[in-house]
Amino acid sequence: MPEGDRGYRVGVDIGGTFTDIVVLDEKSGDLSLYKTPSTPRDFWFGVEAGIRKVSDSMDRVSMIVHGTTVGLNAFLMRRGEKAGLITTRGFRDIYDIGRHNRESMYDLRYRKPEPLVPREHRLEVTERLDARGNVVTPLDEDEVRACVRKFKAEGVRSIAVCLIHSYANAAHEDRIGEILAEEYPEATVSLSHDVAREWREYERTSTVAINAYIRPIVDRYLSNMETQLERQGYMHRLFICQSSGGVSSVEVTKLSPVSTLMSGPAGGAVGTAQVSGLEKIPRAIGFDMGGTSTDVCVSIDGNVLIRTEYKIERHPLLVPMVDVQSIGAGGGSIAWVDSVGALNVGPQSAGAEPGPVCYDKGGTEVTTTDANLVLGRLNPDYFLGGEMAVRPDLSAKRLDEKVAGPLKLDRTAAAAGILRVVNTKMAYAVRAVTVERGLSPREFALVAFGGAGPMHACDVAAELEIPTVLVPVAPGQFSALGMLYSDIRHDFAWTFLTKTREVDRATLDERFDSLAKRAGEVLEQEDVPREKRRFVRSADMRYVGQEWSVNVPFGEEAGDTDWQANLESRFHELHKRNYGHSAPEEPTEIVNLRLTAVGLVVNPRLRELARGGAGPEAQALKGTRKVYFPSLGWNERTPIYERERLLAGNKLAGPAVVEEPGSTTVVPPGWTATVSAYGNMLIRKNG
Amino acid sequence: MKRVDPVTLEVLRHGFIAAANEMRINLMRTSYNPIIYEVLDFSVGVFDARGNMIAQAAGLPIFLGNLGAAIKTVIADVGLAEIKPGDVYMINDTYTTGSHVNDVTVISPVYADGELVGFTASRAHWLDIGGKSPGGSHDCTDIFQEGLRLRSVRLYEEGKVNRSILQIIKDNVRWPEAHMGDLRAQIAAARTGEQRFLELVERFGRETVLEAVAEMLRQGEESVRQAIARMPDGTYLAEGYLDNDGVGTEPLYIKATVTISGDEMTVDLTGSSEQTLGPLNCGLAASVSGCRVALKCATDPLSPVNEGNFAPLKLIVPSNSMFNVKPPGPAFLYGISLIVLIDVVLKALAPALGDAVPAAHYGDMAGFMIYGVDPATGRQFIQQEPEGGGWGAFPDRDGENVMIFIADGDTRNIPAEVIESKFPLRLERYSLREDSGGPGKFRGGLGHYRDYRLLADEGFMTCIMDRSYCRPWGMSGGKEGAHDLVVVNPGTAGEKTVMKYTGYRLKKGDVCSVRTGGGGGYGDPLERDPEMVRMDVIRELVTLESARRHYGVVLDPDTSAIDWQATAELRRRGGAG
Repeated sequence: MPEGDRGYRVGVDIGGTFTDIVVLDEKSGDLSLYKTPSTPRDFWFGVEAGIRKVSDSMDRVSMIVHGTTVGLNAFLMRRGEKAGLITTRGFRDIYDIGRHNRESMYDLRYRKPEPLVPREHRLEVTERLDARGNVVTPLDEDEVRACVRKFKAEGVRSIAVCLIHSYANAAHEDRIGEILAEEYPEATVSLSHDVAREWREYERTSTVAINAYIRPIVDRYLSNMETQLERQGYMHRLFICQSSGGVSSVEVTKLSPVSTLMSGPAGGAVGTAQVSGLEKIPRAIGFDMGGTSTDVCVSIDGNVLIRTEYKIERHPLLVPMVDVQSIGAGGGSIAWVDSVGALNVGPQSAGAEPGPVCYDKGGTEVTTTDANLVLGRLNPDYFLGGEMAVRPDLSAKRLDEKVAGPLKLDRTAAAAGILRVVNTKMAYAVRAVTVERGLSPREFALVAFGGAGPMHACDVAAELEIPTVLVPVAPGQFSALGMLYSDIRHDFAWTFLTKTREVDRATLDERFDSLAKRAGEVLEQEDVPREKRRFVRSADMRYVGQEWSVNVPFGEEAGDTDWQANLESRFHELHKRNYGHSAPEEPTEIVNLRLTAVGLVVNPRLRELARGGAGPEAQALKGTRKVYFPSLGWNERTPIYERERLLAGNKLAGPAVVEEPGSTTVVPPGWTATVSAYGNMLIRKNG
Repeated sequence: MKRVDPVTLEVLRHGFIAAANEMRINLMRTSYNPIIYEVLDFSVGVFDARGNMIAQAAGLPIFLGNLGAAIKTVIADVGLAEIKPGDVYMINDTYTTGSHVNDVTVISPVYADGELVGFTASRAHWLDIGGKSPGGSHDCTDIFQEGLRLRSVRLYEEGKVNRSILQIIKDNVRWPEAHMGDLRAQIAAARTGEQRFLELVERFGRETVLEAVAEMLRQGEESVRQAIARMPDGTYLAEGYLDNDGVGTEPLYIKATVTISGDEMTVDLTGSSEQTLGPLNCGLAASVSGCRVALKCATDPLSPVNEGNFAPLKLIVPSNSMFNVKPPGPAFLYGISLIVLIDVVLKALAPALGDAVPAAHYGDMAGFMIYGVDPATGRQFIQQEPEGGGWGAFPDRDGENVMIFIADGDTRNIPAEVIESKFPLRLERYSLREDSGGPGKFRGGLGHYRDYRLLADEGFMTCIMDRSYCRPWGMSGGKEGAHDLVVVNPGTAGEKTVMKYTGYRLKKGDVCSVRTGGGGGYGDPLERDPEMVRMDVIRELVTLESARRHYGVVLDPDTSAIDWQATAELRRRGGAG
């Protein structure tokens, strides 16, 4: 458990192409950023190379936070462990049937997500509970032993167990776990109530099956990494990023690796909440525009919105994650003219290979990046900080051939048109994300990061009538930076269906206390001191008979005689915000109890920038360039600034461009950027 | 007319799609009724001043492009001159809008600078619209038994609500509070669409917006014309049957003659059964939707739609056809007929589309409900849902197991853990139904067993199962799949098979086993790779006996090893079937 001022705090974010390493000196607040090629064969080499850049010895490193995609990749590439599943008799096919819906309605070739466990490895045992957890049929233990024999014979070594109503009573699952431990100790066992103690058998089965599928792989990877770090002299705990935006120790992560699957976008979301809090912006939309997609999240009062269920490649997961929506538009999105003469951008992407035309790696499709380059918004001599040569002439040639020609537009109009279309698409998608949650985008600031986010942010914001854009420090490595601000976090849920007015407080407290006890043990194991522990209770509630529920904070006030009325009034209020109406006279019910256990990590402070005047120092101006802005046309002498040389208080009136190694910010005419004390740029619409 | 520039056109296209999408979000967020926000039984859209669809966000496929007919009816009934800013109209007329009376459409005009520029509309399935039984019934013989009829009713006059109409509705539907909530949600959705439409007009000017709309419709039409032109000219024919009309016992005949001529497609339903006594009739506008779904699946399943897409499609339906129901014919179960119509049109098109059309899916609503009094609460309960079944095989792969029928798209089943928490029922089995998939070189997907046990003292079961007469067909030598049925108390002396029944009496402990059909197979089953047959047997999707009989594959009953010699011999003889 880091004290917050001892040494270096390190964030390691391994992506498909690059590994980002962020190092923060806790004492001085100095930040160093490194990028190193990822080594897919053994990720450790990439990480090691990165950490070596920090320090020869690891003993000054006080905390390492690691975002890993090992579990995700094992799932995406279907390279998981041979897994088995034990279910209640009559239910082995729930994993195949799913919810029987067809997401792509007119597509005759639509396929459901394919189970990770084939039917011959899905075995049934006789047992049954009712919805209250009463035993209807006792567990047939001989049948469990027969399953073991079958799994051994077939070489199945990772076993998931999901029984009907196990959220209400875990005894049968626990007993199966004991039998498996006795009879088949070399197997790893995932019990559904341990991974997700929530109802809905298909979603819970899917969750525990993915866990079993990736667990041995993540386990080996983390063990290896710990050993290597130890050998290097690192003396503290390694923390792993979770999809919820929190971090957990390696021990906890090994039991439930399924909760790391969506940790990729979590760093950026936590960063969005942190940086908007720092700049005193209560409501922020995170806008992370990368090569193939743009991730959007929402933060209110320094808290990222979390969802308790999501899907990955349509496989449902009942584990909390930051509520991120992915839009299929990015720097690599391809612009094309269809057979009836309409201009389309995306959803296809040129990706990193072959990439945009300008990469000169064989790409022939015009992308958003090519359009930005042709319009002078991107600097051809400064790709990846100048490490990569690009060919704007190739972009121009293909743009004429593929877009401008067919549309009978000139080159500039075609390129500007591509950007206009992609910005429109993203703006409508961002608006949908907010209105779906009962929020209005106008009340938010747009926090822009990712390689392409700061280049498009002001135009997207203008579409949405958002007056403020925030470009944080290190927008190209913002996810890794965000990790450093993550608290230790564990989420526990327990489905407990009851009418709000028919349950006594003691019953609920007892359940919350039992969750808290379990949470406390986990935090204890992670050496989180008592004063740093926080337990947050909430309940999923709904009107009796409704399908969807709303998560409502549950008061801690002991002895509160009006607790039911207070809880219900909070529910009505949230229901109104989310769904536009409430019905205070209707009875309500509780569906799930949730407890979030937090181990507070001391937030490191970034070093403040030296203060400068309103006008940037002469040395910050790199030069001028011809850049196209729709409202001005070609602006011959657009000032280009080097971000590193800007000082706190500097104001840059658009049109202007700010460059840094991982990203480019475009300040359009009518907007003004101001550099904050912490080096973030706040770009506001004039007037 | 001046051509709008391609970039503005694209910005406006996204604007209209986003407007329809926001209407959808709004309706789902604010409705009371799970059939809207969970079953997605709704549709919303933005239209031009003549009622042509500019953009639509559908919940169900069956609602594809069927709101325009409602708007056109209101225009014809009320007269354009009488339609004023702030008006809101309601319509659920089966004979002009096509679907059953439970589908209530709410329409409002969009005015910019005093001129009508378009309409927004939302349609939602109301859980109840009056009528003889709660929620609807399968044995009505005229429309009056089916519920309250509303045709071009002006609910708001220039922004002011007509309380009398609200009162009539409240007094004639069951659960009026919830339905008033849904009506408010529909009106709010229409207003959202109107606001977004006006924002586009304000930003780009009326002229530009109208030019862009015309161009979008032209492009929509052009892209489908190109797709149809790629199909070989010719006349293609297919047929299918429904077991009966819910009241009588005679099968209903569905015949589609599809003609591709250049870039146009004509579907002629002449020869199909005449209007029926029971509620399996379809309104003409719904029959058009069914053909539009088939056209969409066949040409361009993934892109957004507008009215232009359907200009190259013509439908011919005789005036006495079950697909052109006339007053006072009932139509509550029109959806079942549409499912089969869609499959029949696709079957007809198969030779024109090469390998794109699969064998038939289980093709039925498989509607099932149990109701009674819950002993724990003393209150009435009802568990009701359509059930999934197997889908047809393709020339290159097996069909999918258990998915919902084509007309219902993205609707979901109710989990056992949820059913058992709410109702005195226990779900004892929800698993794949062995041998239900049609045999073929590629096998049809499997249907399911879904077994409910009643825990209350008494209850009633209603089921609407079909396709026993015309089972889900195979293609290119593939065999048909099994059909839907319900077996009450299977494996006991009192075992009974039921197809269509309203209010079958059950006592405590009785089991209803809902067994849904499978998809048809594709290609000769004797050509199926014996290794795939072996895996099917190991996975218990196909029995040993069926492997031998349909696929001509002989396996060792203990080891599941293939007896190659016996298999070759059996296959040479043409199988054991």
